[in-house]
Amino acid sequence: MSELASTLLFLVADGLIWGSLIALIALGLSLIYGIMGIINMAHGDFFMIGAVLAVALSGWLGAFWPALLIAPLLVGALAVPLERWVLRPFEGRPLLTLVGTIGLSFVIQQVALIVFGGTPRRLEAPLAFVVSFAGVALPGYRVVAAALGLLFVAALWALVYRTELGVRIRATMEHPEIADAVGIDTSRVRVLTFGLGAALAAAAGVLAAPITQVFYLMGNDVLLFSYIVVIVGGLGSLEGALAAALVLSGVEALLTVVVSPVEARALMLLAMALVLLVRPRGLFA
Amino acid sequence: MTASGRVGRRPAVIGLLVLVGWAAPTGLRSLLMVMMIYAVFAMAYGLLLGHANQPSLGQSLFFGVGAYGFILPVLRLEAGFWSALGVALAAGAAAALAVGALAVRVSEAYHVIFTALLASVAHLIAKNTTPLTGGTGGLPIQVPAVPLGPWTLSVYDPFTNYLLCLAAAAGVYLGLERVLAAPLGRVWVAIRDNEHRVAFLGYRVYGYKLAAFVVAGTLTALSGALYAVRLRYASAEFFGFEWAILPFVWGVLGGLRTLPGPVVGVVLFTVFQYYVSAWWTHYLILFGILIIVILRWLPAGIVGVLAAARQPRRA
Repeated sequence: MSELASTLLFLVADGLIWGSLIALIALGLSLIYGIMGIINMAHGDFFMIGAVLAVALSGWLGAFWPALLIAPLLVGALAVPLERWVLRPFEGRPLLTLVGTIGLSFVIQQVALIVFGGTPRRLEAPLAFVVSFAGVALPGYRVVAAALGLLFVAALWALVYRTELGVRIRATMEHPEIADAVGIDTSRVRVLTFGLGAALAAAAGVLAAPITQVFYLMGNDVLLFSYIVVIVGGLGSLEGALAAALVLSGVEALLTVVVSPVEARALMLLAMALVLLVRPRGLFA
Repeated sequence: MTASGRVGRRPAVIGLLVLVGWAAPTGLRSLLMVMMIYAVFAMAYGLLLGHANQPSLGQSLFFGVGAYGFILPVLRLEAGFWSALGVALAAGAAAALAVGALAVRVSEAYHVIFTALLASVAHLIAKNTTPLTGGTGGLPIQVPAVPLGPWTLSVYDPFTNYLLCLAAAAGVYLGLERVLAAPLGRVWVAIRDNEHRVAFLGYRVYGYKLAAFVVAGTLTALSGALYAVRLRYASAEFFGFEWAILPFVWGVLGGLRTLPGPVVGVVLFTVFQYYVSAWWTHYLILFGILIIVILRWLPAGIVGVLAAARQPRRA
């Protein structure tokens, strides 16, 4: 196979790997918007806390994998009171939730800066093998991370579409008043969904820690891309978020062959604007 | 309060500000100057969100465009002061027209996210096109002399620079006061209160909303240009996201639905920023908490709360 073809294949594969992590973040964003009407600007920081905890726990425990369980639980537990006691009065009002969560984001980032320091850190990949196919060699950890990311997505899918809690979540998303009237504790659904979304972002952060720079502002960049994804997919649409995460990550990776990463990001934004012009509510909503 | 009483106080306030600027020590004068530049920005945002109900979180884009719209003609084309300022305002208006054409069509959630994303990407681009913008290091300039009728003024004289900012802030205040009292301003407020009804009465809502977006973008560019003049430089950080959040904080703190509200917000918040940021490196923590507290307990802003307290409650 020619060198160009394998370069392109590598880029698409790497793009899809990031796409599966972005999907975890975007699904949480879309779910949280769909249920609570919160535009969560602190979501990137839940991702960041996940990555920071992965670095810290790997140091203390000498092993990477426990963080994948511990960090989402901790971040979920942190997010639950934030929804109930801080964000609840703003819910359903996009601008207020956006600005309020920016305030939250400042606090989380500065606390992370104080505790963790400002220097970016790298975590060594916990797996060292290499996966090769069609002349392309991918670091094994990245492939495993993507698979785990998709596994979390599948688990979320099963939860939302195959469990009783999922029925309550979907009912609250579609008709909050009626859900309330038929006896669903919508307040509990809100709290649980926010915690769940935050935990998914933290899981993505843990998985991303060995393949990126870990520092207190790392969530900003990821959040920016995730919001492009969520808008293209349609706010509140889970299918849209998943499809857009994978497609846009792949396309952006391919674009970096011909343009700089910043130009690629600007082109993604342009694509988003075009989608909004044609379909003001995104592709799937 | 009678109408004549309201008009009568304005020259006195402006005269007092001239006097203070002339007599004040350098530090205070410089602080007042920053407040007046911010006030232009804040009033533009009050018009946009408080009167025309456009929840933009991308005003940093127009602030940056205004700053570079001023310094680039000076650096590259040796433009004079007024023509550079004209370019800055035109660039701000053009950018606002382009962004607004899409932004005012979509619903609130999409509007907020779209403008915020646009501003973030603009910041990213500004940081990475160093040959044009100077990146985060920025580009310093020599501000050209300001010809004004028979005189030629220089902003390197601090009092002159102060008067320039005061003229801009007072001009924008008085101008907006007229516009808000005129039919255009009434239609904006009517759109805020009930968009469908305004459309039903035969007004082209889209055009009115777009007009508010362009006016606000142009005034924000004016503020950006004045900020660049004061610092005699501009950098990619003029596009930073804090410039998108600050106008909201000023407006909400002071009260978005009145013209003086955002100005009061600027005064209070700038004093807070000035002292707390000097005292604590991690002052963003306090900033973040303050945003949430204001949103939660001061939804009408300080001016709104004071006005409500002064008026006897209607039965």
